[in-house]
Amino acid sequence: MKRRADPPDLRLLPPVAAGWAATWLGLALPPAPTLVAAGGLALCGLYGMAQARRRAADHPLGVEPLAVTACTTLLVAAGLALSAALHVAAGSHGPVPGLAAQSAIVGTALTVTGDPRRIAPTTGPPSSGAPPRPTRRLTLIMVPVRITDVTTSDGTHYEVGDSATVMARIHAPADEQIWLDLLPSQHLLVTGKLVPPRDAGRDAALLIADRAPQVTGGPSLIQSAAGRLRADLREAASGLPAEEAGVLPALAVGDTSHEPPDLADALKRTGLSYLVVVSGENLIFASAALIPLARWAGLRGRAVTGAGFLLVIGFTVLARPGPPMVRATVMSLLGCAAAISGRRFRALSTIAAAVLVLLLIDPWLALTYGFALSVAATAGLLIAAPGWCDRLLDRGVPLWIAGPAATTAAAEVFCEPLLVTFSGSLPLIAVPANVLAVPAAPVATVLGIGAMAADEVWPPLGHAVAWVAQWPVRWICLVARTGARMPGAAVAWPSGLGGCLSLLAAYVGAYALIRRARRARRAKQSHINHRVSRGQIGLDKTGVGSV
Amino acid sequence: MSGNQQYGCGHRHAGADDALPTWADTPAAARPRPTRLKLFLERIQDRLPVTLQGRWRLDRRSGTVLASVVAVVALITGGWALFRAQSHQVGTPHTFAADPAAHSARHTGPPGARTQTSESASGGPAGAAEPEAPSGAEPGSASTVVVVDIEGKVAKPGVIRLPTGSRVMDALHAAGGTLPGTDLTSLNQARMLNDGEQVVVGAPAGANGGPVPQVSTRPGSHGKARLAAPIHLNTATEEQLEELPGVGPALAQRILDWRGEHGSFSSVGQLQEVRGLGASKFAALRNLVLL
Repeated sequence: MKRRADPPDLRLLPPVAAGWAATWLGLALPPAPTLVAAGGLALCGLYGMAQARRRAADHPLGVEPLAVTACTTLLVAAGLALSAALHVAAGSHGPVPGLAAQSAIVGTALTVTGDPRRIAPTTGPPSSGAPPRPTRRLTLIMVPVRITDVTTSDGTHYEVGDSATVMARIHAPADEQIWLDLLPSQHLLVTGKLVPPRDAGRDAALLIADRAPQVTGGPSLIQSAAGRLRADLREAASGLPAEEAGVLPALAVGDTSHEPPDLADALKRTGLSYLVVVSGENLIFASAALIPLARWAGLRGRAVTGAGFLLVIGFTVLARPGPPMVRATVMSLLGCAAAISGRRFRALSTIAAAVLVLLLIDPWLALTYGFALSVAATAGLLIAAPGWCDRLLDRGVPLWIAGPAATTAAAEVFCEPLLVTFSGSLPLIAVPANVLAVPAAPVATVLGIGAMAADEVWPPLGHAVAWVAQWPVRWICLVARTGARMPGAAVAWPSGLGGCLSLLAAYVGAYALIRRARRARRAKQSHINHRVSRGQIGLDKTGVGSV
Repeated sequence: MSGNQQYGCGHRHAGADDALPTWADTPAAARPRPTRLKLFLERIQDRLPVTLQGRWRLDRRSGTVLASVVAVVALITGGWALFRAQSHQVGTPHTFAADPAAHSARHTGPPGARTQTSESASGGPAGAAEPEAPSGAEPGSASTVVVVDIEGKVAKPGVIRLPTGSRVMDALHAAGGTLPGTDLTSLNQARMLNDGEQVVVGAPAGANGGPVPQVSTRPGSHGKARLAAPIHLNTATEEQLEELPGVGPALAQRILDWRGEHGSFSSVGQLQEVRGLGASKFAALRNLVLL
């Protein structure tokens, strides 16, 4: 029925899974015990490898692949634990954590490393049955930065290099725009209070600032060009109704600065929020549009590849180069490449290698939900989606439904054990909502990027393209809002670790049931052995009864 | 599903030996007998989805290469992280943030020593503040240096130390020069600097949240013509503190308590450490008080 080449290459999976766990533990523990544990793991691994080698010398054919796999797994885990320990040591190094522990007021010189994020004030109802939530009347703006200089209030001055986040409390409306207009790679002087970071991660401190920063160095050329193009897109969309004007930049280049919060909530509840964070998908949509265009313009062969390469670089800059972007791009490029062409044969290996490389470069990724979610979603696309898609096609479902349905369902099923830990519900609406909304996403992305380019050349043209782009955007918003309002859109499920484990147990149970049912059906169809067939059906029924 | 038929559990052990070059990729003769563990793993393998039925085992060479590459790269990236986090204390502070946070004229001396651990750094400010802070505002070291806060359109704004007798032009020079296009006609560059004063050269538009005189100098210790006389934090009485907007008797008492407890304020920014004096109140007060 289908072409089937070599069996999939899965050799990297055990070492990488163990390495991820080791990184995670290494970041959670102080460096000294991690180093000791890493040393122990490395010794065990080396001893095992030496043993395997000696035995291989004794019996030329009698290699011990299982032992070799186990030892390699130990060694890789040891290596990643070492890297994690060094990164933790680097983070707790220097004066900043100590100053944060005593809530010192300091003057700092900073470099912006990411986009400012605005948190609107919460004006909750004053304790009318609702859980007592602390209301915050100030707008907050969070800016990821790297601290380069610290001066304490007694005049001591340190040169440091710690990641941190600035939490700017906005007292004067004029300050808000100054903070929001910051671009990555700008240099600032900020005075504020250093406090310990809220959650574990790469940040050494949180800097609470009450006054506008003083910009001492402009953004780099690339970042200012990217900032300008993003501003072009916002400008082109400014003629649209407020909602579409906010969502179009988010869909096209992941610029969520003007996204309405209630729509963000609706998107989250219908499992569509991945469309508005920047990810490799936008890149794929854009290149899918570019390549025919390049051919039509007369480019051939290498020139098309070159144009695609330029697009990747340009888009990465536009959507802010940084760990999240790189991670998302790597993962979804791999996932889609595997889904489109080679099916599944080397893809799992490649994704494991990508995880390994990313963890080595930036171990803190191991702690982030975003990274775990991308890996889970990509794994879903590679492991489950092809089979599900085939099965839907076998049942006569047209490809344009089967493709999106299988991929979104697979990604959803693989991500849900992670998502449920903090959402506490299962979004059943996600799959139909995705099937409905996904066809509009590439159109909106491509038109959005087109509007951006057109606005740069001639603003009225940009407005015209943005006007066209609002229709797919409206469709996605409509799907999200309707889906979020539907009764039964989400089923309550316990949150936290218990929810995750119970969901995994439910998966295993469901998988065993489905597998058993399928075997029974196949045995029946093949008519090989009626007695076995009858036995299988009996088993099936008892199986249903027992689970 | 042909895959399930080929690799599925229909022919569990047979499939493992001949059809699959994967799970059992060694010749049958080389394996003395399947151990219990191997049988268990094979059964697990059979129950996996087709996409997970494949080659799981590493051979010795690729295992060694993988482990060595990971170890080397881990050392490089970890070492790089340590290198980037390298911190050290530099001698006298030359650049502060745009806050007169450290007006202390206390001579920190050229420590030169590298402060590597957070312990010594954290011990520093808290421990040192108490005994030495009372002399902070004293002109003990002011006989040799003046400390001025130079703000606005200069390359490196902040608090700088200059020899006594320096002039405004020296301060501009020490702050890296004025930015291009700054109008200096109304700034008397020949004026001699007073200790503790602030020189504002233009202002970044809107940075202070309100209109700021383009070019002006405000001698810090000699009062201001346009504002009410500023309150000196380290000498103010409770009544004087109560004149400040938003400061009642209770808060004034807490400010005095803080001063009693810590000896003196060594920067205006320390007001925020007074209990009940939040950020917004501080923002309103910070231009009305001096040390």
